[in-house]
Amino acid sequence: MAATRIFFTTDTHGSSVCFRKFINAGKFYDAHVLILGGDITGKKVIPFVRQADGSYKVNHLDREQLIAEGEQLEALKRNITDMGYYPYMTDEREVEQLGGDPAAQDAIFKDLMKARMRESLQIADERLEGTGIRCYVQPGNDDEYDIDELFDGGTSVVNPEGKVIQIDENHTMISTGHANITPWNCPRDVSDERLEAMIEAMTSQVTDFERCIFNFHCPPYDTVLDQAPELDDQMRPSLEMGGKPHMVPVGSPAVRRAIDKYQPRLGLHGHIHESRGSQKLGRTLCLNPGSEYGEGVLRGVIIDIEKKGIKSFTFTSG
Amino acid sequence: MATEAKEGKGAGGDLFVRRASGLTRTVSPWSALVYAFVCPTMTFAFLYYYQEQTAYPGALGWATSFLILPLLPIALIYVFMSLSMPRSGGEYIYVSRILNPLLGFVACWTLTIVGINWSGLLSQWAVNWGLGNLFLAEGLATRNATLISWGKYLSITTPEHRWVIWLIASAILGSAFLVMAMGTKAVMRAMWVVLVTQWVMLISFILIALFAGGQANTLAGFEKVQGIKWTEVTDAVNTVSGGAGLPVFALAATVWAGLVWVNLSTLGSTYAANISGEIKKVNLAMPLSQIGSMVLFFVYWIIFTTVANHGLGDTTIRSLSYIDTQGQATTMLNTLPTISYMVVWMTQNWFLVAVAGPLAFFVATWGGILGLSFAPVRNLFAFSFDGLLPGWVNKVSRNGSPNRAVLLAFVMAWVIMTVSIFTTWWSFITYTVTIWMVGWVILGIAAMVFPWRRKDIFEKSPALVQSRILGIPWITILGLLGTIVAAVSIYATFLVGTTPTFNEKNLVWTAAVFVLAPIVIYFIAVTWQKGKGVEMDKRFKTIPPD
Repeated sequence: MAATRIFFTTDTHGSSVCFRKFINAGKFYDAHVLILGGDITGKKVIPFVRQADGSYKVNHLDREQLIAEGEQLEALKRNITDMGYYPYMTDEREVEQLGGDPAAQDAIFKDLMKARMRESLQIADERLEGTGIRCYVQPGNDDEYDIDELFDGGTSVVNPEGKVIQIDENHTMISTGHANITPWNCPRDVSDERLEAMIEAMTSQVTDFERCIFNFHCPPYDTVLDQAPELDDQMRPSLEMGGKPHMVPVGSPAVRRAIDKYQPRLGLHGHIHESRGSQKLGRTLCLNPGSEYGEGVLRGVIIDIEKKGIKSFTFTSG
Repeated sequence: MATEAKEGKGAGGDLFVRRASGLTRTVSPWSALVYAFVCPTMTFAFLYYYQEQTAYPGALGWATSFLILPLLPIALIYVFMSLSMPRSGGEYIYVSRILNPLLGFVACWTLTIVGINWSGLLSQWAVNWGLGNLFLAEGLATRNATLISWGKYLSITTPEHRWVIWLIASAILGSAFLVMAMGTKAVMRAMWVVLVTQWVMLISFILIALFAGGQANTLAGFEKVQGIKWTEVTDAVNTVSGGAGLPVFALAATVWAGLVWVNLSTLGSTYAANISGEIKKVNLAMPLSQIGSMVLFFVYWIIFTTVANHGLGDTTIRSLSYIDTQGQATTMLNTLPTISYMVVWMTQNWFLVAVAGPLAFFVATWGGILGLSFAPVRNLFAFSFDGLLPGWVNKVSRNGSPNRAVLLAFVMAWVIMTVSIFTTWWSFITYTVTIWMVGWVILGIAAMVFPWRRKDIFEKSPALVQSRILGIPWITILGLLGTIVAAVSIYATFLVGTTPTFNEKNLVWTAAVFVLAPIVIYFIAVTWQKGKGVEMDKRFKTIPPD
């Protein structure tokens, strides 16, 4: 029986180029299954503020520019889109109004997020049609619940959140994009107790954990996959000797307990961009490919999985 | 917490940053500076200040510190690269991504093997110039014949004594790696102890050197403690120089000494880490801390050499280091007279001799093994993830310690230590500078071409990284300067003056082996992985987005 090849990536954070690479990764790596493990929407809107002379003032990458309409403007928009941000055409009056109106800002964010998500799913539908490649994209803790409805109409892309999915004839997968509470109180941050309950709701439906994949956005606590810079109460990274950040575990104890208890074949995780790595917890191989979405680099991992086990895995940097 | 983001500047500023930004506040430049300067290899000035003058007679000791400044372009390359690719993890990724994975591996491997090489060599130093010099100096200070005999036994690696030295060095090396295997917390605690010891040593040395009575006191102490007339040393200078006396100060010798020896003290200080969080913001802390730490180091070296010259006498150090081009000082004194050893000529107080001298040097050397193996262990770990080394290397213990990678690094360091004790092939530390600089030549080239080879990443970098002068990207200029500095440093390592252990053929073979090894490993790995159905060449290939 030939191995099933999975390509897993995570934390694209709205990067248009990374999502397009993800969709093309199936053909590029000869993968049967594509999985995007969470955090798929962007973090920042970049206003393009129209000036009296028709040019646009844009503050991007700590540089303020005045750009006339045309190819240069379009190129900058593409650059911003590729970095995961949302260009927004506006004017000084609106910027001033929005400054005192968080609800209006939120509404703009959500509109832009949904528009890009819609566009991404459409690209996925077009490129995956007829290929036989199965594609799973789940929102992560950073993602608003508003985007969930967008998966209902798509034909190629499935949101696996909370479901038991048959990956191939031997393996099942359970998924959640929720995470334990972070300093930023993200939309899908939940208490560890609640996360445990969500996991249990899925594991109660699994019959063969030896051939199960845990697609949990949040990595297990205290592994090489969940090390992040420690922050002080001013949100500054703490340093240690030599000027390096002091790294601490920030993953989920609930995820850790679930993996220790059920010992699935494979754990796929993201959430902590700095912690690319692999670690075996008992018989479970846990993987986090990390993320460099801001540079337009799609970090991922190719996993060849057979009935008897994992044949191989390779970290990629596309 | 999101309020820090809303400090709106310019057109909307940070107005539209989501709460879920992952944004953190930037570290102050002062914090970054202090931590960057806190490096456990500072006390190696006690050794290098002497050895650089043996290797390059005529070098003006205090002026060699100026040669720290040419390292600035290379330090700034690391800063710019880490601002551009904050989660990449060093030269391995930078070069793999910009040039190709083979060159990335070679560049990173050279720095890895240098760190491991040093760990092996330092364990021998810890025996010879730590323990050996400690027993010898304490024995001479207290007129204890037993201590003197132990000191003589351990301070020089002779064929008769090498087995014992090898055993003790193996134990020292093993103890450092054992702490590493216990995890990061254990390492950090140990490093703080080492750091405090170093500062106590340095301050004690400075006080003794300033107040002990200068060169006259030192020479009197030399004659009293060693039982040798100083005129024997001056006679030896005349013999070695053919009557010309001490070499006059030479600019070229000063430059070569600085490029090779002073820079040995800085290994590890260019490991810059981007700490700016998710939203790309220019973090001035990093470039300022790199520049600042180099300036601080420069000031430190000036102070150290000035104080050493004041307390010991400039001609004292120069005379002994000069006759040691023929090994004569080492033979005369039964040890290599490091600056830490010379403390016993300034004072015969046994406590001060230990605190300001060889005991502290021993502790610093042990700390050096620990500190300098950190990055190599991390790199071996990364190589294993990428299939370049066997998978078992990236296994971790229950407490998350990469103990397999630690074990591999220990074995490599131990083999190098063994070869260096039982042969003279790798005993000369300037060989490592050659190897190290090869890695930096490759990094410099990658930096030069970065804006064109990876335009996609370059154009997503912060404004500082994309900045230009006369239309040329600064990163390109830094790459060119860094490549030149590294290439000149390689040249400088071939100009080392004749010493008993330096051999140009050994240098060429050593460098060739250590630089060719990663190429061989790479192709073996690619072939092996291909047999398992893993296409290594796809690891770094850019997926076409359209």
